[in-house]
Amino acid sequence: MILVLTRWSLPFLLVHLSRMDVRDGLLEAARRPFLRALTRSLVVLLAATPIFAFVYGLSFSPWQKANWNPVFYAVFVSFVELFLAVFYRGRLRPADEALTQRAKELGKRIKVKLPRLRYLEVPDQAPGGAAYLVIWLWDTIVLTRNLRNQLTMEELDVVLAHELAHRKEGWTLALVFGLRVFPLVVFVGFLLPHLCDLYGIHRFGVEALPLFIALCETALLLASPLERALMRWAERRADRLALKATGNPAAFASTMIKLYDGNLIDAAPGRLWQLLFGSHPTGLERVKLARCWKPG
Amino acid sequence: MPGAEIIRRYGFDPEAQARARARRIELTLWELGHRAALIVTGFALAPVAKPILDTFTRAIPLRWLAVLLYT
Repeated sequence: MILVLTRWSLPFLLVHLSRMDVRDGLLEAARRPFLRALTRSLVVLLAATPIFAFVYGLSFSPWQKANWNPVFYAVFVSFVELFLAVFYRGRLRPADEALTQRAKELGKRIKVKLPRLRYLEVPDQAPGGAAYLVIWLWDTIVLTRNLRNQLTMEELDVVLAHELAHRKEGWTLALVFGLRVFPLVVFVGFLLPHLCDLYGIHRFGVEALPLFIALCETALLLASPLERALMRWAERRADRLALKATGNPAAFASTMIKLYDGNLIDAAPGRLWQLLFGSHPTGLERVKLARCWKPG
Repeated sequence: MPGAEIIRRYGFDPEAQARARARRIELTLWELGHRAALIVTGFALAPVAKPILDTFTRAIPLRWLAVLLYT
C-alpha cells in the first residue's frame, strides 16, 4: 500500500518536478551518474542490511513470519520521494482569483468539477515550469508560479485544460496505475517463492529483501514500455480534449514550444527512446497535432 | 531523429533543444544505471544475505539493548 501510494500519488508531482530543479541539482552533483547511482545503491543496500537485521533481531522477533519486506522496500525506494513531496507540499499557495475564474470556465466547457488550484512557489525568473494533477491523495491542480510570467492567459488556459482533461479522464490514469501494479504482483508473486526455495531462505524473512528489490525493479523495467505507451495514449487524449475546450491551436503550439524549450525537454528524442521511456507525445507530435487541428 | 532544421521549422529553439538532448541522455543513464544497480546488487546479495544476517545477529550481543528499549 505504501509502495502504491508513494510511487503513484504524491510523487506524481515529483515526476514533473524532477524536470525542474531537483534532479538537475542531483545530477550536477553527480558528474558520473551511473557510478554515483551504483555507489548509492550499494551503500544503501549494505547499510540497510544491518539496520534490518537489528530491527529484525530485536523488535520484530516475536513476529518473524510477518511479511515486512514490502514495507521495507517501500520505505527504501520512496524515502527520497516522500521527503521531496513533504518539502514541496509546504511550498504550495492558493491560486489567484483570475486564474481560478478561467479554470472554472474551462471546467464548465470540459464538464468536470474544478479541483483545488494551487501555485507552487518557485523563483519568478526560473526557466520552464510545470503543471500537474494529483488525484490519488488530494484532488489538486498545481502550477509553478513562474508560469504566470512566461505564458499568456490563453496559453495558461491550454495548461489548465490539459490538466482538467486528465481530471475528467481519471480512468485512463487508473489504467496506467493498474499496469504498474499488475506485473509487480504477478512477477514477484510467482518468482519470489521459487527463488527463495532455490537459495534456501524464508520468503517473508528479511534475508529475502535483496531478492525482493531485484524482482520488483526487474518487473517494473520489463513492464515500462507498455506502461509508457499507455501513458502516452492518456496524454494524447488529454491534449485533444484541451484543444477542443480551448479552441486555440496556436496557443496550444506556443505553450508546448515554451514549455519544452524552457524545461529543456527534448522535443524529438528518437523513436526507440520514445518507445521505451516517453511518457508524453514528443514536442514535435504535439505541435503537429495543433497545426493539423480542425475545430468541430 | 529529426535535425536542427526540422526542430526550428516547428518553432523550437535549436540551442535549447541541443541542451535538452544532452540532458535527456544524462537522465536516461541516471535512471537506467540506478535501476540496473538495484537489480544487480539485489540478485548478487540474494544467496549471501542469510549468512551475513546470521553472522551479524550472532556476533553482536544486542540482547541488553532490547532490555533497555523495552524498559
